[in-house]
Amino acid sequence: MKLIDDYLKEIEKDLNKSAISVNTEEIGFVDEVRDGVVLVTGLDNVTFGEVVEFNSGAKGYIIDLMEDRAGVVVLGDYLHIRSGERVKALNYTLSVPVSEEILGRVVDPLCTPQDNLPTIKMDKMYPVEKIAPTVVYRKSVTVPLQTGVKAIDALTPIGRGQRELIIGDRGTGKTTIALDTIINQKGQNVICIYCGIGQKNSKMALVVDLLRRNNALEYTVVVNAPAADAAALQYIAPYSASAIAEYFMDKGKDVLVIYDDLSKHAWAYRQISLILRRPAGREAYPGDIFYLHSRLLERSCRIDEKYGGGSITALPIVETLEGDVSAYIPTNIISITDGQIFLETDLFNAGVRPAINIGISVSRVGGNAQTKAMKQVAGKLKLDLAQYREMAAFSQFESDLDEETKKLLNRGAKVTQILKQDKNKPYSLGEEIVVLWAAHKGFLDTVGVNDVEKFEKKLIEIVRRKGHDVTSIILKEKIISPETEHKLEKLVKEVV
Amino acid sequence: MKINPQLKEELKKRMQVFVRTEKEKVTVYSVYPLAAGEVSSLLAANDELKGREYSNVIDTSLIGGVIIRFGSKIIDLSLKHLLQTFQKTIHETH
Repeated sequence: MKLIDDYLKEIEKDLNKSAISVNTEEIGFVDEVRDGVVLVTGLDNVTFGEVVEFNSGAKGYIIDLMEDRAGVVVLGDYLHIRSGERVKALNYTLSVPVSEEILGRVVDPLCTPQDNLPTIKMDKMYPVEKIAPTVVYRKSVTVPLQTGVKAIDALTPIGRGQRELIIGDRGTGKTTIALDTIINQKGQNVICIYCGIGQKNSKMALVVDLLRRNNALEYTVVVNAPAADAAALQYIAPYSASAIAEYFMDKGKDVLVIYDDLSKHAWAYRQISLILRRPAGREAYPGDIFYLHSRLLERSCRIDEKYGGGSITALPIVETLEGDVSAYIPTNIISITDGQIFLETDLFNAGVRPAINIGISVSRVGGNAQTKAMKQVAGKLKLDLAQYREMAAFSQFESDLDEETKKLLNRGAKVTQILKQDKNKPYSLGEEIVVLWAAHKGFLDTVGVNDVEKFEKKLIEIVRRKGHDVTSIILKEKIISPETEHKLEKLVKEVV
Repeated sequence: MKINPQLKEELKKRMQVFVRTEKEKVTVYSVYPLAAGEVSSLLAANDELKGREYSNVIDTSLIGGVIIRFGSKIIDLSLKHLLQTFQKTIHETH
């Protein structure tokens, strides 16, 4: 216990300190207030990206430097800013406070909690804008990230550190795939970040509720910049999410970030650019719209163990209009990412859910990360589906088909059936392999198309009940050996 | 009201010249007029300001102390600023 004398000494020490510190401040005055963007005169010695504080309390950061003025985007409410108001430079670039405590929370792009829970204790400040790690620090993608969706894990596999675009029209299940992936990361030692940009608040409430019900919120951070927020906040939201991800990656952890969605992000940036009177290009987007997304997605990577390890996997989402992938933003992001999962309305309405168009969905690096056992079953599946699509197109005109073609058509129809999956019910890797193995070996050929779902349900039930040793062997050996095949056959025959 | 663009350009140029000359000036804001010796000893404390010409402006809202302004830089040594910082500290720790 401290004695009173000790306290007195401390107080005396405090009193002896000089109370006033003389420091020079950089100031300016508000010249023009536009929609969310303020033009300031003065501020002669500020840098790009520096944070400034308005006399009325609002904060902003510098996004444009002109000869005699500086353009500032206001973070938050700009309605109280008057022209002539004093602006003070704060001498640091925009950063967000991060710590382990942020897990399980819903925050805004400046990491202020939005969920009525206690404040988050800060551990470090991470810069919102950061140059991506260079080649030296990187490692190629070799570890898989299981999405729990059969069609993706088999045909367009995703590896840790990859950037895979999810693209499709509205209401085709883009967010569902992303959320299923988060739910499936339970116990996989992956930290998830869901970044909503320009979304409806009602949708975000549903997302948070879904994650909570599936016990996925405890390893997830939700960064929310809803449609009601200022364009500036929507613009920095994905960079903030990236900064939070980098904090965990620097600790050697694997992180999954979902940007939902980048087309709205591009809209927010277009708005800011047009207000700043930057020259407009195609579809009125500014010239640096490509760099806007490339610098964001370059920050996802896998770091070499020599430099601490860790990875950031990015699943950006882009919404198309009427399935038009050749619009400006979709083509840009397709070229930046390492592959895309393409969702189609027609498939969705035909009951193929997830509505993935396997023909044009690709994964450029994920194949190296796929487990051998999955490769064994998925390789043939891909071929079957490709042949099926080709045959199905022109078999509609011909009435008499030869046996071989009929067989192909039958197999293709069954494989398409087996790739269907209910939402929010991700499969474990073992279950996926068993189901796909059954299709690959032709066990479904004798089952009616409408009975495939029933077959699959029964098979999963049996696998969960007594197939535990088989799945654990597959996961351990990473390959399906002839002995395992024998055991699998026994399991599947129980259903048939 | 529409402003003639040529006139606007001219005004902008004049403004820039004005701003440039303004930058060289040092302004000292205080509550009461300061004696020449007081100000020069104050400016002597800063290498950048030593011996520069200045003008003294009276601003009673400062309550006490001085503000030195040069270009877009400001050294705020007023009582008002101190109280404002104090208020902020209380607000943040609350």
